[in-house]
Amino acid sequence: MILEALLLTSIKRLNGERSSSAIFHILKGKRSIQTIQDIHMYRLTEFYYSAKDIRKADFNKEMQKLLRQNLIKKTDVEPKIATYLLTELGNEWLGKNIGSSSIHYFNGLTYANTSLKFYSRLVLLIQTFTNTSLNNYSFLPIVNDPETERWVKKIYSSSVYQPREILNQLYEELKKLFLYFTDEEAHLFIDRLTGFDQYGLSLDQLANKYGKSYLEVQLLITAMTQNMLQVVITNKKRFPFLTFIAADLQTENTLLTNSALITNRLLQKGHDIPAIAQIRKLKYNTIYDHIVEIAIHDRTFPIEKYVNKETQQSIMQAIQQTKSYMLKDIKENINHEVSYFEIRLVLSLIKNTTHSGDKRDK
Amino acid sequence: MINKRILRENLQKHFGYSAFRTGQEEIILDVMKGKDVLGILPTGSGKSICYQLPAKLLEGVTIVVSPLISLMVDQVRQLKASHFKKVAAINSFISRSERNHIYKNIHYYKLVYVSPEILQQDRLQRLLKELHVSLFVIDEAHCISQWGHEFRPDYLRLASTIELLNNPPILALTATATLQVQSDIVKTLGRKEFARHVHPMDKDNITFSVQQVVDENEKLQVITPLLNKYRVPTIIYFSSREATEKVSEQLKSNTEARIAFYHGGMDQYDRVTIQQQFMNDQLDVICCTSAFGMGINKSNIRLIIHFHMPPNLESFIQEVGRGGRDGDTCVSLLLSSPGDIYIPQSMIQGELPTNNQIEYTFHQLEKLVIANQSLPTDNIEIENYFQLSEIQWRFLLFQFEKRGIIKRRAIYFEPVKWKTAQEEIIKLRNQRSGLKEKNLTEILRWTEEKSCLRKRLYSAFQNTVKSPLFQCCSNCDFQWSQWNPPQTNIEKKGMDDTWKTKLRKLLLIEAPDETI
Repeated sequence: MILEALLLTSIKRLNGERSSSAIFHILKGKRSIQTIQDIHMYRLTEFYYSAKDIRKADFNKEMQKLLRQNLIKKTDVEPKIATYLLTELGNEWLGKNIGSSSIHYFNGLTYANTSLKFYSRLVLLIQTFTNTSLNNYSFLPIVNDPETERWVKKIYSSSVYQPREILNQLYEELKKLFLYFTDEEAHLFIDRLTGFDQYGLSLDQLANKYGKSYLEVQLLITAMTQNMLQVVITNKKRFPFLTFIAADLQTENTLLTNSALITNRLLQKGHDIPAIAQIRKLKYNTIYDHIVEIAIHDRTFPIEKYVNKETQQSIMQAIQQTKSYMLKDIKENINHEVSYFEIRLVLSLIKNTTHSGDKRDK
Repeated sequence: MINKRILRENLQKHFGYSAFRTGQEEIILDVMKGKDVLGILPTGSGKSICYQLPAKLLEGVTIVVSPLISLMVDQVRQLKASHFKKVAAINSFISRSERNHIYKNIHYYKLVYVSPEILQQDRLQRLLKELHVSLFVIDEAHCISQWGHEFRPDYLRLASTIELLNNPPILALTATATLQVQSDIVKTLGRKEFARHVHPMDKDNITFSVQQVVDENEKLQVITPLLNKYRVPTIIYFSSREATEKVSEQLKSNTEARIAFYHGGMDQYDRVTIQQQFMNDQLDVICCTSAFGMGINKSNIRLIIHFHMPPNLESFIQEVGRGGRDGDTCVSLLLSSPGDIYIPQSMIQGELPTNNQIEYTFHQLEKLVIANQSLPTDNIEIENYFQLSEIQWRFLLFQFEKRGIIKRRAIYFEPVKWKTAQEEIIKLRNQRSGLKEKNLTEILRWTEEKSCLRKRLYSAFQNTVKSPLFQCCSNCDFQWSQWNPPQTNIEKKGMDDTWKTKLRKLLLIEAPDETI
């Protein structure tokens, strides 16, 4: 159910203005400028990076299923790229099920990366301390991430924490934490954990046991972990040890691509677009992409340097007229001298205003 | 001077074994003397000790070239788990920061595993050149022959790398090598004198059975009752990832056995999970591709089924060799149906570029020359431009570099030379695919053999075959009714626990007083 809810909510918010690939990229957490712009404009930041391992074929299959079940329909606005809208049935389904679908656990833009690390630490910590407290020092770590391994090793070798104390403390805090979830979710999450002489279940095994699909299990665990982190961070006093696990993990998003970062540095040094293109041996269009990317992330970015006030106004008007965020629609309703670059920069402003009024559909 | 007593003491001290297994000691003695060694030891006989112990004892660092990243990762983790800490693995899957960490501390390590591809990197080569490399190991050395020519051309570059590292002694290890493959290995590594230690690979505790069936459906009908009758650690090999998933699903719904699939496309966490559950007897059956098994140290695997035929006898012997390492009984069952040859056949064809593709590649190269351009920088762009798969491109790139047609990214055009090159490459391609087809025919013939399967299987590799400890083969005496291996006991526990109880047990918290 979490999968349908996720897709239907995304389709609803995209309002037929983006293709299904746009949804795919959002779920996969593509770091492209277009995707970042989309999640802000269509209020889909929480679903960003929610299914990083999803395969295109599986995604398409799910979309086909929604079509067959008559929950979504194709729009005929743009014949070349298929875009979708919810049917009445789809809206009804969403209204009925969204509350119990667990998609409200997602907090992707903020926590996707952090929660992965948080999860790895938690898992490896439990495996390490259950084994060592029973004097078993030879076990294969279930998490294969050197950074996490080093972190756990550090905890292990510091004399501040005794294995038994850590396990006790984890027990007390996890007991409280799972109360934020349904019983089934708690079972599923715990079944995946590895302790002494007992390896956790794989995603596929969980899927079988709980009668869900592989993808659903994956989504659920991702969503739960993101929500756990949210709960822990907002209730630090109730979860001191879990807070400690999360403490040094970066929670701010560093989503600017490397290349855009370099361009940003050059901009700040006072270079203009042609200069940067020459220094970096890149096409103008690439630099334009970077600037839009920077503008999306930096609310104080002076876009008037690149689009004068008048043009900004006329683009705004065109957006209001067409009631659309589609570049092509806007471009068609405006003086043809206005470039896509200028339109995209103005759109980056819009996200900042609509986003602040973001309310979740219920 | 190293002698046997010192070696044994160190074996006990560092690895906790009281005695060497067959073949290990002779190889290690020669390695410690600084000889170049070719060691052929059967699967499961502890090949890795042959360099892990010297790595501990020799000054400087031991480099191990290993073909499979998962294998490398497993070995490093097992070593670390058993207190050999000065070990690292460098391959394309570790993060940049992790790689930097290793590079910065390169002097710290005694044992460094590398993939042949990463070993070609300038930075790593420069670093290693500064070190004292005391031993250069090629693990699974048959890859030099079996794979080296096509999609792992970097295996063929090892000789020049070894030279660059000031010619340390070489240890080439493999479990299966025909005489042809042995001479391939020796020739490619460019050393004259190898001390050869070839140990018979036949396993007297394995029973061989081949069963002809009509189709895959019948294969399922054969396997299902077996899994219901025998609850023993079982591996079922398939030739595709999809098949492992599909069949494991079908078997799950028709048997009581605890079954999971395993293949290279799964996420890392799940791969370790499944592997360890199997080691831990939480699972009975693994449906897998050949990605499963190398480096798996489970001693009591009792049944190895080939749902699909492997592409050659060497692979088959390797895979079967994972069974019965404790010396107790193990049955190998190969299920053969008429259409089985098509999958490996098309795989062979897909690995190599076709003649048309080779001609087209030359044509596209010429177009780049005319436009005065160099090769695209991105691999995907390259593959699109020439319309080749990654494997095919790697095969051709090596040929181009060898002939001076491509250096770095630049293309060097000489019409006459190119014409000969094209003919030569096409000829080479046909040779290679011919050889692979021949190997495939060989295993197919084996499945149709009427006399003793055991004798026939090993005859390409050795002159004598030990007499079997249990039943011999389906052509001699084998009957399922006579096979009674020890079965796995399963205790069902904690089925009705609440999640709180589950969590409590997981975290080893004492139960609160529950008197009722």
